[in-house]
Amino acid sequence: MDFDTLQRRWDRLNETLDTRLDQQSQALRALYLQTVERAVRRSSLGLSAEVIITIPVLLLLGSFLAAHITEPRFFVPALMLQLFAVVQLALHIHKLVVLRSLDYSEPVVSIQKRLATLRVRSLRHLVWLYACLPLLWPPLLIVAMQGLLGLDAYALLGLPYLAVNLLVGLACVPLLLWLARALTPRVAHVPALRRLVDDLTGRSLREALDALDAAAAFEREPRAER
Amino acid sequence: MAVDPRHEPFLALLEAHQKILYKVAFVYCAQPDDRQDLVQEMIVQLWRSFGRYDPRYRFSTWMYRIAVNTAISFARSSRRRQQPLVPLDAELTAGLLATPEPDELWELRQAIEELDSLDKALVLLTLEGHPHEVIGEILGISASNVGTRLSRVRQRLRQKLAPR
Repeated sequence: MDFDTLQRRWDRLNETLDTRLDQQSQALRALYLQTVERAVRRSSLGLSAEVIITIPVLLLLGSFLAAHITEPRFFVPALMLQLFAVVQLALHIHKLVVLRSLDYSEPVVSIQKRLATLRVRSLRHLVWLYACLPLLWPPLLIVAMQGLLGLDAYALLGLPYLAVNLLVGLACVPLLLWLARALTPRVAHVPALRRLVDDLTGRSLREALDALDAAAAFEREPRAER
Repeated sequence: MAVDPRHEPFLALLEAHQKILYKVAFVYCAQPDDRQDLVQEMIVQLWRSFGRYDPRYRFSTWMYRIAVNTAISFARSSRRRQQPLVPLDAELTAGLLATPEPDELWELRQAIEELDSLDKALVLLTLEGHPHEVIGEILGISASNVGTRLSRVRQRLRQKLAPR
């Protein structure tokens, strides 16, 4: 064996190392993607539960609407709530479809992009939801009092009280939206805000994105030559 | 699970050049456990020195320098290194350096095993295809000194590797 043979064996060592490192990277990528899959499954379960809860609400509101179709003072508030519930349901179903359609054999970056987009959409959706809640409070009060207790909120609380509540709720919408917009740039720098966003959009989605970050490090990349 | 952003450049460079560490460990340690310890030690030393790394120079050259110096110190301080070479079956369990053709690598390491620490580095860097100037830069000796030492090593290896 001469020095050239030694060189050939050294090249063989290099090839062996390349193969082993690729195998190791693929195994680690698969391991992290399993974590992603588990987190996405948890997130899907949560969303499915929300869909299941929303359906009876829709049915109850539907029957309330049918019962009060000739009474606009009850019909209109119930319709507002029904529309809100329908939008909620549609958004949950859309999120579920996105999560179910994730293909884990795709490049990590592509899965990352889809989950990050979903997270941003969820956050926007939640901002609108919380901004609209004060506006929905008077219709909810009217419908709940009539539907559950058989009481007429207009007669019991008076129209001015309900009108003031509605106006305050209406004023809260732009205020809350402005607040959300003002806080958005600080989310990345304030840990408490980041935790709040994680809680609102779902910890499972955050875990999935973290695991994807880790998996991205093991995505097949051209290795440095020597 | 998230990586500290301050560590990201280091980890990215380490990941891209990790083969260097395995190869240095292969040359300096016969035992898989020792190799693992040495790789860890090299990573620690690289991290400690990373603040002084000048990005104008090639990372791989800087990494070789730190890795080889660490390996030489490790070899000096470790008595375990003097234990006989492990049998091939044990080598197969060594993970990254396990190979479907162990005889080849066994012979390769046997050929390098008896060289002194500096000559091992010389052979390693030569087999890696580095020019004498770069080898001299990594080992802190002149390019002509590299040439002289290398021809001596080649001669010794030729004698050792000659078919009997």
